[in-house]
Amino acid sequence: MFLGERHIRMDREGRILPRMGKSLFVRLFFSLLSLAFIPMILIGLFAWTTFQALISASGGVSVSTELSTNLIAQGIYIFLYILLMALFLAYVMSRSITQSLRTLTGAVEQITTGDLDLSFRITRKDEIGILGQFFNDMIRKLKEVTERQQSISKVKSEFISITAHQLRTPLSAMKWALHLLEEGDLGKMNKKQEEIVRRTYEENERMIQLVNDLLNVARIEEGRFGYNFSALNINELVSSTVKEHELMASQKNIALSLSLPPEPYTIFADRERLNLALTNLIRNALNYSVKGMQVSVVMQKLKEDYIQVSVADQGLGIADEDKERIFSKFFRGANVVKQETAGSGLGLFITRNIVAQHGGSIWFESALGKGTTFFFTLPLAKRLVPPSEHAPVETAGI
Amino acid sequence: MTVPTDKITILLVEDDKFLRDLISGKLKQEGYTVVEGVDGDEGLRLLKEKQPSIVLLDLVIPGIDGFELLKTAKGDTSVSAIPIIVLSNLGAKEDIDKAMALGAHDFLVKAHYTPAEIVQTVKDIIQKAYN
Repeated sequence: MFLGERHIRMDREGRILPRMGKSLFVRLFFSLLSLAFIPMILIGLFAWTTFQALISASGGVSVSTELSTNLIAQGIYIFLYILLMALFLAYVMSRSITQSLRTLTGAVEQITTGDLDLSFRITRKDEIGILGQFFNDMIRKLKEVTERQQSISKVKSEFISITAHQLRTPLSAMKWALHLLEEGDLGKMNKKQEEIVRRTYEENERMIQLVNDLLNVARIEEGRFGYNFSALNINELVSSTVKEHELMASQKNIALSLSLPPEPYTIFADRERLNLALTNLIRNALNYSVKGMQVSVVMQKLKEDYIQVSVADQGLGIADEDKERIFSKFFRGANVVKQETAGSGLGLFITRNIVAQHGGSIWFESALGKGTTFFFTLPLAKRLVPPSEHAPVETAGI
Repeated sequence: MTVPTDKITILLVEDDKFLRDLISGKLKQEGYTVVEGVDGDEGLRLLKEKQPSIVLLDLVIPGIDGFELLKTAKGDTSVSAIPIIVLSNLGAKEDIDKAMALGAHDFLVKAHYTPAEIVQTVKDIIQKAYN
């Protein structure tokens, strides 16, 4: 069934109503009316012509006129009677069907909102009763499947949380121990030892980052990442996030530039999460660029009530065959893997979910070997931000 | 006026021995007196007995957990004024919100802070609370 948007009628409570002239009642009414009325007209016509012929043959003109008037009057009475009967029958018949249909529609509506706590008490033995029974079966099965999925997903995220948590203790211990060594708290080291300890510390930081990413992904998938929305100055957030990466850029000899609109804009957002989303994009840009290249972050206001932020690099680029899967969990482009660059393949998945939770969208343009630009938008108005956190819809190819 | 550091007692409640040694070593190096508790029950007992200046508290510990300890401490007027810094591997917003609502002074995720940064936080809080 196709419901074109122009054809949808709704009642005051926002329920969708059938099209005028297409409702069951109107259809039944006209069917009943034509069923009774057409034979009546035909019989009337035949009777009238027969009478006319007989009476004209016997020669009484006045009798003929009186008879036709009578006949017409009778016809009108019968028509009115049929009209009333059709109206009444159509009402009774359509009611017996539409009432059950309306109950079913209400139930389906309830199910689409995710509420499965309902079932019908069925007294009818007709086709609609059977439909109701199937409906009850369907709800029961749906409930079973949903419950099973929920418990699987719960076990899965509990597993990730516990594993990640267990990993964090030894990782913290290593971080602290390596840091004490590096700081010279445990005695002075020679240059070579210092270098090894510094590199081990960096590797350990990578593992900590990976565990963080895993925990974030588990929470995003459960729909309980825990957002903390407030009004904030987006110019300031973008600029401080870029500043946090200036050291990393200068160490790699990459020019990191920032362009902001002259006037400040306030948006409704989660500072920490948005910082994470932008950090992931800037880190990717820096990681997949080499010495002498440029990474530019540009923030601008779009004509519609949206802010757009873009992060452009001149680095590796994304191959056409990888473009579709770039936002999928654990996916990393083949060219990136070959370069032995660090990365978990979780950053873009996390970033996309954060942007979506802010009511924005994210996309990119890329050419292999020429660079990539990621764009994302954020709404300026609070009403465009989704009211509550929702678990993401799984994308194909995961 | 600054209180001499050796007069300041820090209670460290942490079940992992290596982590406890690392942090306690760093704090002692700074001149603080460190008292160590390995589980929730010992932590709570030491808190009441030693009346430390500040507490570094892990959340996932044997016996009564860190949240419970925090709740009990904040409900006991003899120790409720002592600032408690949570030093944990939990880091979800709900855990942080819960600990802060129970009266924690600060929440540090272990893996995100170096010992030097933890000591600095302790110093800052002591500075604010006792000077």
